[in-house]
Amino acid sequence: MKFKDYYDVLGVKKDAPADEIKRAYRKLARKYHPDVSEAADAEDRFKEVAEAYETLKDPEKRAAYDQLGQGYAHGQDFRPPPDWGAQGGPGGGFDASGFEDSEAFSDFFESLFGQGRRPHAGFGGGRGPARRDGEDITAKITVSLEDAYAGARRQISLDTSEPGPDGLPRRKRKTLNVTIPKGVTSGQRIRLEGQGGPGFGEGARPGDLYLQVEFQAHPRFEAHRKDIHATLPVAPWEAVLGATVPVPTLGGNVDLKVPAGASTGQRLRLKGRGLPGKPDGDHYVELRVVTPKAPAAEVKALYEQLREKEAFDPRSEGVKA
Amino acid sequence: MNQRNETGDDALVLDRTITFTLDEFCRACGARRSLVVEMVEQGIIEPREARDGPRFHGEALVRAQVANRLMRDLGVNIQGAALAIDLLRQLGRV
Repeated sequence: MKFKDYYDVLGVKKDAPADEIKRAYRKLARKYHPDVSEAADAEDRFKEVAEAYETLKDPEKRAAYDQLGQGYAHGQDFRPPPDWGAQGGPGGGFDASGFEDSEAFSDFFESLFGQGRRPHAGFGGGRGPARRDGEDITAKITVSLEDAYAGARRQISLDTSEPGPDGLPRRKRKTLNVTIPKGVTSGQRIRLEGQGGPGFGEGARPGDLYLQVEFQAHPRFEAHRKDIHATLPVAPWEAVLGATVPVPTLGGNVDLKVPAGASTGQRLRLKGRGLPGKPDGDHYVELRVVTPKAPAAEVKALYEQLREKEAFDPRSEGVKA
Repeated sequence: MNQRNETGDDALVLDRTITFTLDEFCRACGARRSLVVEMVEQGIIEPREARDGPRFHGEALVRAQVANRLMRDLGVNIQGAALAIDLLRQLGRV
C-alpha cells in the first residue's frame, strides 16, 4: 500500500489551519465533483480530495495521521504499525463524502481509520443510532450499442459491506445478474431497489444500487441520446445519379435511397432506426463521396471524357465573379 | 412505483416513464419531505399532480440526488444547488 500525502492532495502546508484546509477542500471539490466536472479522472481526484479532507478536518484523525506519516513521502510503500488496530485508531462514526462505487475510501485510508461510507440515511435523519439504513451505491456500467438496442443480461460485481460478527461493517464482494433494458441511453441511471449496501439494525432497509450507463465506443456508430449517427461512403456515380444502397443499422441492413445530386456532408435520416424508445430514435447517415483509388484504364478514360464534357467547377460554387 | 419498465427484474431506468409517489421519492433519494418540498419550490424538480398526490418521474430523482450530493459535498445551500442544476441542465448533464 502506498502512503498518501493528504496535505499535498489539498495543496496546503502541514501546519495549515483548519479554515485554510476547508477552503482548499471546497475549491478542489467544486473542480472535481463528479456531478459537475467533465475531467476523465474527476471521480478519482474527488475521492482523493474528499478522503484527504475527511482526515485533516478532524483534529483527532489529523493528529493520528501526522504521527503515522512522519518520515513518509507521497507514493512511498506504507504499512501501519501492527498494533495500530488494537490501539483503536480514531475510526468509526464519521461522515464520509464519496461518489460512485468508490464511495469506500482507499485501502490506505481504511487501514488507518476503518471503513468510511456514507449511510443512505444521511439526508433523512431522525433515526435512532441503533438502526442505519444501507448505503446507496452508484456504479458505472459500460454497455455496447448492440446491447442497448436489443437489451441484455449482464453479470456485475461490486464491493459492498455487511455486518461482521462484531456488528461492524466488513467489505464484501457481491455479484448480481442485471438486465440491461432495451433502449437505455448513455448517462441514464438504472435503479435496482434494495441491491445497495445492507442496513444495520432491526428494521433497517438496504440501500439501492444505481448503475450509470456509459456507451462503449463503437467502430461504426455514434449515439446521441436515442439517435445513431454514422458515415455512409458512396461512389461518385451513386452521388450523381442517385442509388438505393444498403445501410448498416443496429437492427441490420436497411435500404436507403440516396437522392441524385447528393454531396459529401449531406445528412439523411432513417426514421425510427435508432435506439428503441417512445418514440424510437433515428439513424442518421452523413454521406461521404469516395473515389476509387486506382481506377482501371477504361474507367480512367471515362473520367477523362467527363472532364472534357462537364464544365462543372466545384470551386466556383457560391463565389461571385 | 406506478409504472415499471419491462426489464425482467427490478432494474428501472430512471427516465420520464417511471413515476414515484412522494413517499417513494423521499425514500429513493434519502431526503425528508420538507427538503423535497424545498426542491420543488426552487424548481429543481417538478411534480405532476395526480388524484392521490404528486408524482415525480425518474429524471427528477436523478436531479434530486445530484442536488443532494452538491449540498453535501460542496457545502452549497439549496439555492446554489438549484443554480448548478440549471446550468447542468443547459449542458444536458442532468
